Amino acid sequence: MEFIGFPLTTILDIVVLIAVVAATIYAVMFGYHWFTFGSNRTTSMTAMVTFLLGAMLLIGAMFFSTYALR
Amino acid sequence: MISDKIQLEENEYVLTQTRRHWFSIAAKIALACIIALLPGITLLGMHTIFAEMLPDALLANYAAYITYGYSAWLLLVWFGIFTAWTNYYLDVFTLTDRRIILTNQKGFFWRNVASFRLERLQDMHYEINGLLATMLDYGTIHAETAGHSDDEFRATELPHPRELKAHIMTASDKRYDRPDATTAGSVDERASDPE
Repeated sequence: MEFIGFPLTTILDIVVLIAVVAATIYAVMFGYHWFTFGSNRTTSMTAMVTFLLGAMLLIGAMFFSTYALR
Repeated sequence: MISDKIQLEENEYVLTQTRRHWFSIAAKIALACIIALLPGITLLGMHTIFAEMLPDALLANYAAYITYGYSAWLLLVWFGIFTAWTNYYLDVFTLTDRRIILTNQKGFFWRNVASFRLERLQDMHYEINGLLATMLDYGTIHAETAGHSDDEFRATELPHPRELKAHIMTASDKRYDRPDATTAGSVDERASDPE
């Protein structure tokens, strides 16, 4: 299957890459705010681990979906 | 402690600190959950209603695309939930024996820290608006301060506003009566005010 002249899997791969970059940027921004201005380091750390685990799970699902399409 | 993040004056101590009411973040998370489930419910509904147009075999063929799209959707919702939680977590109302400090995180890299001295407090009222606010006991505190602009200090969705107001008024009265309260400068002005 093609989309605007490119194989669809390539487009989906690029979107996964964009998602990884976006998640990284968000994680850095969250980390900066939570650890600089947050009241409790344990709460900030728990939130960061939860965010990263959730994001990794969802990006992993996206990645393996494109893998299944090959 | 939250007070570690606030530059307190010498001998100034924190009387109470509070965040917005838990319902404030719970409502946003509930909304995010509804948004997260929306595509799944829509697809399931369409599959049930238009079973002939969307047979199981067709859905099975596109299962990888559906998983991909739904994961991307959930990722956006995930970002939204944590952005909302950041705004909740970093908004703090602090009452010290000298000041009220309101920290408001409005967005990434947009932080507003407002404070006013208890000596400047002229009038204060709270507002509990709505059924849920009444049942869960949260509301908005308004404080009018003496100043050139007569500006109003406003903190929204605070839990137990009645008790908080009483706490602030007690602290303000104590501050006004304290003999060493001249550090702010405005106590003397208020004391000499003919009103």
